[in-house]
Amino acid sequence: MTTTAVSTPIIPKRSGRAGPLKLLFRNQLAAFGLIMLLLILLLVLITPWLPLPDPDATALSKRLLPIFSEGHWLGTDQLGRDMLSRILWGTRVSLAVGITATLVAASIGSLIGLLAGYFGGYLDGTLMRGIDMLMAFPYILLALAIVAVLGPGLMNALYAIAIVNIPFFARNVRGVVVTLRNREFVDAARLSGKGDVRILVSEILPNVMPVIVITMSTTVGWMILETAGLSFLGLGAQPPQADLGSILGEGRRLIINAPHVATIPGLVIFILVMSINLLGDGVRDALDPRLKAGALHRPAARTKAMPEAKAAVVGQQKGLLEVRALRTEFHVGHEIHQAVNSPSFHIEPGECLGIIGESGSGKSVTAMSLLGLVASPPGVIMAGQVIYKNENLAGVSDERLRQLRGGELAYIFQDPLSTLHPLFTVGDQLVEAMRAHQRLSYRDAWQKAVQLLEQVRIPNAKERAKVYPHQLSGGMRQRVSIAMALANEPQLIIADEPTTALDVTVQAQILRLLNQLRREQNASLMFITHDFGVVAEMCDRVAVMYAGELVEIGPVKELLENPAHPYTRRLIACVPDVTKVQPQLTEIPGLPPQVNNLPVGCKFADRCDQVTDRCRQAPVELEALTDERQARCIFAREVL
Amino acid sequence: MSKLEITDLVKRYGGGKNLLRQELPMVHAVRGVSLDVKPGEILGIVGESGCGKSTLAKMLVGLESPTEGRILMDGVELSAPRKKINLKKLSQQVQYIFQDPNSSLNPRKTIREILSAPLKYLRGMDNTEREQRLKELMEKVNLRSEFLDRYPHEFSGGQAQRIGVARALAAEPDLLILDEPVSALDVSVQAQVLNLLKALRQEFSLTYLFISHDLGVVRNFCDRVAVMYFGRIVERGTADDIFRRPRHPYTQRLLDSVPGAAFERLPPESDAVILPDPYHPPKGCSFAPRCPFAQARCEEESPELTEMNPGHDAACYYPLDDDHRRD
Repeated sequence: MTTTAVSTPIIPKRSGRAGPLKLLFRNQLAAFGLIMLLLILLLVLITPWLPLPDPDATALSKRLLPIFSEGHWLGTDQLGRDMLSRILWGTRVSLAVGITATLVAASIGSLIGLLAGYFGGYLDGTLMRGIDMLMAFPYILLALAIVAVLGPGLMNALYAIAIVNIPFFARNVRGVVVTLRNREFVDAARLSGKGDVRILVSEILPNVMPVIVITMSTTVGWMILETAGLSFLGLGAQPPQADLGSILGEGRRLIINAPHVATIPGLVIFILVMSINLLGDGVRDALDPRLKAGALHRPAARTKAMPEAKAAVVGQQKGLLEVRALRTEFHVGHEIHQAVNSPSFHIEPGECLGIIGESGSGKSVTAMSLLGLVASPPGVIMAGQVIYKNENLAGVSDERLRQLRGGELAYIFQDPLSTLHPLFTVGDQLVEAMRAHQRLSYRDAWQKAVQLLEQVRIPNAKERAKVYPHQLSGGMRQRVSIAMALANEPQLIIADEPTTALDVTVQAQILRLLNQLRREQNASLMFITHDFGVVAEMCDRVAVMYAGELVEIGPVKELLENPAHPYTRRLIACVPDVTKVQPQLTEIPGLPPQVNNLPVGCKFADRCDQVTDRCRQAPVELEALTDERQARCIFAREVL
Repeated sequence: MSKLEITDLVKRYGGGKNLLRQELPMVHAVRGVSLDVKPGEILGIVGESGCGKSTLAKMLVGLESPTEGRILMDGVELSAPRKKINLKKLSQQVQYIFQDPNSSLNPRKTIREILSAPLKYLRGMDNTEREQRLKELMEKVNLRSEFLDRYPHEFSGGQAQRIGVARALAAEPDLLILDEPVSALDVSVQAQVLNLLKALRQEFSLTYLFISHDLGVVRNFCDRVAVMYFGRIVERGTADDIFRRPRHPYTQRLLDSVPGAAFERLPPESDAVILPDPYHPPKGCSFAPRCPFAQARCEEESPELTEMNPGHDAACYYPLDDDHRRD
């Protein structure tokens, strides 16, 4: 073996993100629902052992006793049967039927969904058309029809309710399976020798389980209501057996003389279904992966900034935009992720500054922090300043920030398909971008939009302005985003990996275009990338980031030819050179430190080949090496 | 004998007629690819998105079946049109390494479960054999065996990709298809995986088919290279020939486009580049609309791969010469 890189173990750590159970309890309504449901379940389970009179024992002398009568807390019904006992036994029946029907519907529906989604083709067509037919009937009518055919009775009501609920499971499960089927891990399982049945059971089913549980939790309440409905109509439980619906049905006739006979089962149904639904909503929120990531909180319009970061500007600003010791953190649960650790830099007018780093180095978060675009929560700007025209951007009013965003300071993102609105034509989106900042009539703005599209060299711009983003190729879409960034004569364009998603020949075109336009408009460019080739081609100066820190900054040519920080040096060596063959590719062993557990000293120490004890003892400061170059390494001077 | 021999492989999707006998659209993904891979070599396949390189890879491992053409491995037919593929048998010879290490590992399974599958179903090992082999595999890819009981999300991209490599090795294949195995990884980690792959090839005398769009990686990793454009191979030869003496203008265009490498031998491309339509492939050379040297003939006839120098073929009527100028 020539490789020696034995992986550093990842420290097993509890994630700061709350688990499903914790999320469930954080939702107070769901917790309330759970407690209510548990209480009801407990009562119902111990019913046979409670000192209650027989629910079917009639005593005509004691008929229609009001509530709180002696020996009968909830009174008696028209045949003198104890209401409390009947309600508890009835709830037992209703719950048993509701839950059993749910389980039956879930098993059959999920099986249909799994088979239809996984195998597709004719099987999918046949099964799903069957489901469509079930869904074409109003379901209570269908349930009535089924009971009418099978005859009244509790078991038949259960079948009817299970059948009408199969489509909900089948459709939900099929939808998920169709996307899962095309995931690479399914292909991988197939190549590992697993057959279709094994893949369905052991690869796909575990991933569909949350969806089944969510659907169950949201339908079980319905099913109890439906059972009650059928029994109310006399089609479910047959006397003397009673469930909540049939008790309610019998009490209906006495509503004037003895309202409690109908009211109490109604109330119990209400409480039962309500608690199940509250819990169901909570379960859905806790299990839904999108909501788990914190999407339940609507992100604020700008990143939350601590008072320290909002302080007024002291002293003279450097260049067009200056960043001073910016510190952005993510507060997730009880953990703090220090994404950006006090980088300071500035951009001159008309300059292109490259920011290079690997994933997790904080380069994008730095760029997003400039105009408060980091989602809050969890992002917080803890300290530092972003200075533009002698204003601290973290402290300016929302109005001023809105004016700057997309105006004098514009962004271009990596994936134009997710930043352009899919339902508006590209022309309309350009018009909107211009009219948000300038007083222009729609017609004038449209004309300017066409000019902008011409400026970014989109052939046949007049026609192309009328198309939707998905009708354009990736390269053309990125041109549209560039046009949008240029729409309001920006002073600074912040481009976050604008060519990473593009093919190499398209990338070459986009880079050339960006360079030309920047020169024509005399705008500054902040170019975030992980590619040294792109930096060499585009940038005047480059800043290298590692673990949220700026480790080195300087003019591109000098820095690439003679890097002062060991990380820069080794990272450059890692890039496979297209012009020559290296016998062995250089690698950097290990992994970057986790930003929620950063070392005190040099953050690169664990992977550095010239590390000394001194490196780990205290934070290493960014040191000026020449007028233009700085590096964060105690040996940097010796290298230069 | 070649390890792998592909003849005139074609893959089309869709097509046929609907109930009203109207023609349905048909995508031409791979349009006649012939290749041979020698035992123990690394053949690189280079091309941009949509050129059919991933479809080609999926046909080689049996995840897709070809519309036309033949695939022979060690002289035995692996897959042919309208023949059911015996995936279990094929998977013991050919394995696949996916581009995105995280999406190719089931998030709800431990590494032990993931790696056990090929040992159990392809190699028929019992429990004790498997336990032993799992430890060996983890060691081979430089991961600690304690990691076996972790879930995929606990691993970084580079580690997850090494698990992907271990899973492929578990099947004890002769041929590995690597579909952009490092393009989702950071440069510093990319080298770890590439060096590991090189070492493993030596140790287990494997043959690699390495698909990538990163020319730097291909130059440094591959022995021979085939360049694909729009479902066809337009040039093939040793890595050295392809990178130093490209013959096809498209290959030169790719090299010119590498940022910072400063080849730039062709005039810059116009902004109105027309990409061929996969529903209606052109009659002539598909690169002709983008080619600075295209002549009338290029629009009319499609050039075949012809030998330019020994072991160096290009499909071009007007190839570049050694000084990167046209004849």
